[in-house]
Amino acid sequence: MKVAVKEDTTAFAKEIQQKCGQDVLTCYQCRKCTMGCPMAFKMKMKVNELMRAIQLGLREEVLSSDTMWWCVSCETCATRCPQDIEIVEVMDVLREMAFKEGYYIPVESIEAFHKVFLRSVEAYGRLYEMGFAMDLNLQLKDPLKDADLGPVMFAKGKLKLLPHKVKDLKSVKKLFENVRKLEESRV
Amino acid sequence: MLEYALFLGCNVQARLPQHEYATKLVFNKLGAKLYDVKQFNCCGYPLKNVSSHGSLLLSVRNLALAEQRGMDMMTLCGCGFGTLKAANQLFREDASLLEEMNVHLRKEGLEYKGTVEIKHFSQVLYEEIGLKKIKENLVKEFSGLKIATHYGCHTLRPSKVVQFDDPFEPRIFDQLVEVTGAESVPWEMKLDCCGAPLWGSNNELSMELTGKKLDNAREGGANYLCSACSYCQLQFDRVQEMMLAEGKVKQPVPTIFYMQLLGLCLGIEGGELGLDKNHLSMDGLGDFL
Repeated sequence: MKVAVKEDTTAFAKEIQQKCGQDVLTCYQCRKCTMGCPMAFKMKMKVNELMRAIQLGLREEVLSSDTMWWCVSCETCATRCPQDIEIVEVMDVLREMAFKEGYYIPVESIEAFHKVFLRSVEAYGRLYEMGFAMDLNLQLKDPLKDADLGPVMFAKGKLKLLPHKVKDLKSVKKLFENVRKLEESRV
Repeated sequence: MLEYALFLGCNVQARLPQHEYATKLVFNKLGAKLYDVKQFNCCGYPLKNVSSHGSLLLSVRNLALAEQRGMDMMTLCGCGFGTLKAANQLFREDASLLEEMNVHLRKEGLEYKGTVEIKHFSQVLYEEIGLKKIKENLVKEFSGLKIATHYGCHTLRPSKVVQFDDPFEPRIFDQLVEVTGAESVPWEMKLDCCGAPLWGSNNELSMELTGKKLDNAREGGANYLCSACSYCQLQFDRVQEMMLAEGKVKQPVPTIFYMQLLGLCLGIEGGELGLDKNHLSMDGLGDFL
């Protein structure tokens, strides 16, 4: 790909720095991040390439890449980085931006998983296993996936038919309302 | 007397009840008191991808609840530990961020000042209780048991934030395992991701990562795995069981939660520690005691 460097290509990197405090511009492509990454084999754009793309201001390419959606946040890259870039924080911000700006998320099931997990936490304060599993299956249009596991887990006392709710559930719901308002005011 | 607010997180309550009671029994034996705080909510970890502020709000509420009770927190899960530690550090560095959070907390009569310390259970055992005291309390020891130790990503990294141990050559958890008489075997993939974050969204890939680790632990000569993180323990136990059923693992490497391992040496019965609640059979452990 040819990239014409013009105007201020560092604007995107600065936007990221402003959001999470990480200065991607200091990356000098040593590739230790990619070499240690357990998910690199899945990524079309490797971690070091993503860093370079950010430096070049390739906003579209970065936000529509699959890199951050494969990232498992294991922090190996950040631990290895000689420039002390907290790469996972960059990944978090990129996921947040791509999500909010409506970019196509190349790993569909991951988006469904995030949404459903959040719904469960919002409704009960914590994860409600059975409701979560059923909701996720509906989202992925595979309603009977893992259904055979239910009775086994139930017999082991691992699956409760009703959720463990957080005491004082109203506060958690309020918290979510606040988050929503906060997010809206920021956009 | 050592006192901590026990932060269980979602996984232990939803899927691993045996971790909760094994932990309480072990700490009771070692003379530390753990308190339940029923109001604790999700640590904030799953929200990080979607809303960093939302994640911080969930974290700060937990921290404020512990502070209100004048207690530090102890976690059983590496992810909860890492998330709360990172949030706590941010609040201590950025007063305006903390104030932004407190605006929301005050609506329910809470406030966070930044005084709570978060400890991983293995830090409490290693730094507060100490190997010496643990050893004094042992009534039996394992012999010939080879264990592949697993720390879990967020227990170790980012090391500047979690301040747990050397992120490349950690020793704390290995020493805790060795105090039970077991041998901690070296294995290459010790510090790699267990595959759990992908479970639910991409099970095939999740099993691929888990399978690689299991093979590597077996090659290292391990009879059992022992995890310092509940989330990873769940992956090695429940997901390995599924992989066995599907023929994706030929020979199992069963996994035991550390509190169960230590509990057995402290003279607590396997039944009380919920060994039968683990997905993979723990029956073979008796051969080493």
